[in-house]
Amino acid sequence: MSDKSEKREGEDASASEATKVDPRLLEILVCPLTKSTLEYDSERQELISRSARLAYPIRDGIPIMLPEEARQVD
Amino acid sequence: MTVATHNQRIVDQFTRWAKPFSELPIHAEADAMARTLRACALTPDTDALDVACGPGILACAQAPHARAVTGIDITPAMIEQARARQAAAGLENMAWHVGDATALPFESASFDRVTTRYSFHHMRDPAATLAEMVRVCRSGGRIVVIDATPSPETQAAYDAMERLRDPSHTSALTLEQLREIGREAGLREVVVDGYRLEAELSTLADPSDMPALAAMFDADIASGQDRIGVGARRTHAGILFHFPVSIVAWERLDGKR
Repeated sequence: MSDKSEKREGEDASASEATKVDPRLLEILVCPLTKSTLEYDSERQELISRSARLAYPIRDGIPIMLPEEARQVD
Repeated sequence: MTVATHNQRIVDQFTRWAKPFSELPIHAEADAMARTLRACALTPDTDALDVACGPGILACAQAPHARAVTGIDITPAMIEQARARQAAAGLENMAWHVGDATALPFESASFDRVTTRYSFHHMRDPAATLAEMVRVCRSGGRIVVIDATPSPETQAAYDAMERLRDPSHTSALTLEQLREIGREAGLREVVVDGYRLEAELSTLADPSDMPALAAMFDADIASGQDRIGVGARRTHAGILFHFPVSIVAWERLDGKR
């Protein structure tokens, strides 16, 4: 997550809402189910938990950390 | 009832009440907040988390005294209110998340203060929430729970009244029950305080629930015995009562969990 989030400011202006989220706070976010670290996908505005195979949406800059709101990923 | 059904009940209830809750003066009442902030013992280098933060009233009150404050709530409409409150107050050092208090999406030992206010009575297993609050709290950090705590004698009647007013109410713990789950979590109690939160019934209930609630309160007032334990009384302004609120703060000790 950290290397992607460092890049995202310059590479994705459309994610400006989400970049208001403090990067330090994004770093302490984990999957609520598995407590494993998350990958930040700046294009889709998602936080991906590989261990739970879920992508949590970031809506209007707010991470929605609810499994029932997450998208299944492989 | 499943956990998912209960969580949906909470979201439904609080989506309807997000704006009124944000505007209710009693929720921001000055002495109550001063006591709460005292128990939080914030410093300029404190990272605070408010769990089940609702419209962000406590989180926004903490922010000027802390390095950063994070709020999390299961109801998106509440987080919208919280953001609006943050913007209106011109606060910068805040972040908001939508999430479940019993499955917090944070690394262990991420915060110096972990608080929750007026939330435990919506939970089926407040000890599970407390365990999560302890997990994300740093060693030597502080966990603060603020909620209505009826006396053992009035707990059943109080719960019946609250369930009528709010279907997402589970049970309000007595102060002793609250202290006990803190002991069971291995925490060291550092503050026990409290206050009475005055309220006017009609501002806190759906009009459709008012006849049944008014009948319950009128019977309680007529009994003269305060069986609900909220000091209910009828005035020209309607039915007034108070929530018997406790504040309990614990320290997370080294080497625990």
